[in-house]
Parts: sequence; C-alpha cells; structure tokens
Amino acid sequence: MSSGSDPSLAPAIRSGVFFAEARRQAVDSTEHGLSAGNVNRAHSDGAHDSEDESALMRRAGNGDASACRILVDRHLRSIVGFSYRFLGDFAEAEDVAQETFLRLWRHAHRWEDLARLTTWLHRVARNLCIDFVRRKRPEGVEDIADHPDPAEDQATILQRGSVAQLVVAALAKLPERQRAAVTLTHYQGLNNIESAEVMGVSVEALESLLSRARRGLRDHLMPLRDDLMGDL
Amino acid sequence: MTRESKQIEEIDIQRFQQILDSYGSNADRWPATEREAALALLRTSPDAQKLCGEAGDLDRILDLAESPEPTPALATRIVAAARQALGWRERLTAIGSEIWPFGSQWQAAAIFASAAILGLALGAVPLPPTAVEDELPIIEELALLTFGPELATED
Repeated sequence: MSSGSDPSLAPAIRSGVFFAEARRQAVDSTEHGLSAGNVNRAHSDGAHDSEDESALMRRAGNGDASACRILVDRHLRSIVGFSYRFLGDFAEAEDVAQETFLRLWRHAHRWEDLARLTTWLHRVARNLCIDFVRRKRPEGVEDIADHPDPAEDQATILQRGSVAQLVVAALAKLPERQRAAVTLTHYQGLNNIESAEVMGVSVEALESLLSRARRGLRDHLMPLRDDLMGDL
Repeated sequence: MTRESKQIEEIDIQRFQQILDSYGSNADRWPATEREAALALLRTSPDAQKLCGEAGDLDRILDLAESPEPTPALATRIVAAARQALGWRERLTAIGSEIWPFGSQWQAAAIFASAAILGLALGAVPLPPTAVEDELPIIEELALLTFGPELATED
C-alpha cells in the first residue's frame, strides 16, 4: 500500500511524516560503505514469494551454488544491517551475518516451510548477537544499556560528524529486547507478527517493548533534533 | 466485496496513539488488521494528524541510521562456505550411488540396518543345549566302563 498517495493525508504529509524515505535517499555517507536506508528495501525483501524461497532452499540443500548465491544476494544486506544496529560494530556484524548463513547452509537440506526465511534468519542472527555480546561482555547484554561508554557521548559522536552513528549509539543504549524489537519493525521491514515470532513474544508484548524503546529513543534523540536534521 | 463496501472496524484516538507509540508514523509498519481503521481516523481527525506528525519527528531521526552495505568479500566467503558445507552431501550421494546403483539409497540403508539388527538379535539369544553337552567326556566314560562307578569317581 502507499499511504503517501492519499490526498486526504495531506496534513500529515506536510508535517513531514511520509517524507522519511525521500530524506533518507538524500543521505550520502561513505563511512563503512553506508548507503541510503533500507526500510522499503526490507519490505521488498519480505515480498519474495515463499514458494520461490522454498524452491531455492531445496536447491541450496542439494548443493546448488547458484541458489546459495541468490539467497545471499537477497538477504545478506538485511542481516548485516540488523546485526550492525544490534551490535554497533560493522566487523562484528559481518561475523554474525556469516555465521547466520553458515547455519542456514547446515540446515538447508532439512528445510521445512514452517517459517519465512527472513524470519528464520533474523531469529538466528538475534541469538548470535546476544551470544556475541555475552561472550564479549560477561556482565550480560541488558547491563550494557545501563553503562554506556562515557567516551562515546552524543557530543563526541556529533563532532565525529556522523549522525548515523549517533542514532546507532542511541539504539545501543536500549535494553537488548527493546533494541531488537525496534530494529525488526522499523529497519528490517518485518511486520508485527513476524517481529513477535523472532522475539519469541506475543504481539502485545512486542508493542510494549516497542513503546518503551521509542520513548527511550525520543528521550535521547529529540533534544538533538536540530543538530541532527541540520546536518542534512 | 469491494474495498469501499468492506466493513472497517473503528479504532479510537487512544488506540491510534498506542499504534503510533509502538510503530511510528509510517502506515506500512502499522498492524495490518488495524491499518485501514487507523488511516480512516487519520483522514478525519485533526488530533490524529497532530499525533502522527509528532511521531514522524522521531521516525525521521531514526531513518538517519542507514543500513551498512556488506563488503563484497563477505558474500564471496559465505558462498564459498556453502560449497564446503553442502558439497559433502553431493559427494556422499555420489559415493552411495556407486555402492548401491539399484535405486533409492534409503532402500539400501534399510536392508543393511535390517541385517545388522537380525545379526544382533541372533547373537543375543542363547542357543538351546545340545546333546553333546549332556554327554560325559570320553576319558570319564572309558573309566566308568573299565573300572565301574566306584573307582571311576575316586580322586
């Protein structure tokens, strides 16, 4: 659906509600090879025909390298994006993405169409991210949010000139479950049912996590709105 | 049933606010079951439009965190790993075909498994005592015949 095309929504459009994508397209950051946002791209990932994906998984399970390549082309960017927003580190995000796909290959020959592939991949990636953080910081993932690195405060990051990093840093300050919930729904293009499935919670619990996450992000980011949007 | 004639369940401004609090201002992210009703309210309610505008402020900032582009080497590594991880299945299948060219390898596996189970079962069951075991050793038998029962058992 295209809510932005409805003329009766003009007030909301004028307020900038539906201009997010156009504004995002204007961003041209070269750091870490970052490129324009992926909300709509993630939605298009979700549009892959499930029957088509089942056939690809069957072929991959039989050792068909071309099917593996198609699956990587379709989903790698999304999984790296999810892991990056979860971990806040690009190299670690790539490690998690690689391990996620290795698990997919090991699982491919007994793939059953019980879940959409993108949901399965996100669930594995999320678990790997949690393991990754626990190994790295034994105090646990939830505690990280309570002890952000003082050296990486907002002013410092702004001085480094990357507003994207500031948003990622704000995400990193959220407790793990809130961070995963907002990443899945806002950035990864998963709907509420799929996000709840990845998280292993009910839709009601997901909404509660999302609501708290967005409140936390608003508290962190809205005071900096003029600085952030001024950069663009 | 046309879209116009479809019954849309109404939602109140409180639920609309909850949707915005959780999913933000982009209707694509709203729950599919409530999207039509939420959009209907947005069309007619200035309060809903104001709330939606406020939620959009945060969305625009969140959208600044672009998605990182994976390095080309990563995709290459993952596809190479697929060849390694999945190649053994191909090799195993090829070897199986050479050993059992008569059809399904599951059939062959089932026959081998049946034979193994049968062998184990036979090995586990004790054989019935034979007549040989009831017989006396030859020396004792000769002694019995030669010296009679009393001398033959004397040690």
